[in-house]
Amino acid sequence: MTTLHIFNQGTLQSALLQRCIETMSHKDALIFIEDGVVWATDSPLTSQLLGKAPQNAGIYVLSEDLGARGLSELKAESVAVVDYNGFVELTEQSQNTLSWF
Amino acid sequence: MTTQTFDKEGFLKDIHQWNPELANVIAENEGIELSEEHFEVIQVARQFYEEFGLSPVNRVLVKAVKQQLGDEKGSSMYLLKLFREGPAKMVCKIAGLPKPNNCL
Amino acid sequence: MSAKRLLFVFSNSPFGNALGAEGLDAVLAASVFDQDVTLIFQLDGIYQLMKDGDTADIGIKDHRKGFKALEMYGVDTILVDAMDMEARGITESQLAIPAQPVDRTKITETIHQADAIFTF
Repeated sequence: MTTLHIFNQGTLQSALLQRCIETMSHKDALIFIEDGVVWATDSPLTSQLLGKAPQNAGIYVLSEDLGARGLSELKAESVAVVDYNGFVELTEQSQNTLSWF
Repeated sequence: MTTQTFDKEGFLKDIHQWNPELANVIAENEGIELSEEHFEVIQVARQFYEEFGLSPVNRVLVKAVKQQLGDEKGSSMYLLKLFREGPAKMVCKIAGLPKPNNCL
Repeated sequence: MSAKRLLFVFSNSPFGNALGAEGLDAVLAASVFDQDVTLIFQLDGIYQLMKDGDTADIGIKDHRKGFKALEMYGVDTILVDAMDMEARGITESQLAIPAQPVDRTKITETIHQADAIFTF
């Protein structure tokens, strides 16, 4: 994995996520945290953008933030769940991280 | 009764420290001797806080008491008699809850 | 003096910022003065109303349960943008309180009728 993209903004920042996804390579990973977890839900709004992510790029969501907002049941199948420890591991596996906000 | 436990206005800082004995101490300081009737109302306020995360204002406390304890007790007069002026503020103080937000 | 029509618009997701909690406080404060209070939840503001969720793991006080007290405070006009709800795959049964899904025309109308508007 080269770059871990960290996205913590809601759907009001869709232009920012679009740029993030356009910037990603297929070796990168993307994790949704804080208000960004709404992107990990299964909905017309989110699938449109997430569908544009590079094929092999891993897409993750932080379980603690997802659960706090009551969205665990709505999670999209294409997104993998990690907890704080998993987030740390992803960070360690990547050469660098890029926070989008 | 240290300043660590209470804020400047005498409200308990940490709601988890509350217990009935502490309620008696707070009430005594305010010149109120707690009876079973007082504790019923205190319980309603604590339940309200538990459910909504809010300290009820007077009008809403009256409503909540009415729902839980019936029409007779769910009146401003009844609460005023037990807890004096601004009953919600006094109830919250004795119940170890934060000061109601919209208290004027 | 007749009651003023106050409109509170929620557009942001909970917990990332304090807007939701601040908005709730403002609504409750307004309700004490017997004003005509309306709430609109739109865009990510709809996530303020999700029934489920537990903030224990993120160490933030869950202000959302305060919205469930709105009825007790005499606030009962709560509108949600139906299209935004649909776009997010959220149904009424997933909301913590009975809110009325409305179209954009109704929202425009509500904004026009308001005497004062507060956004969160």
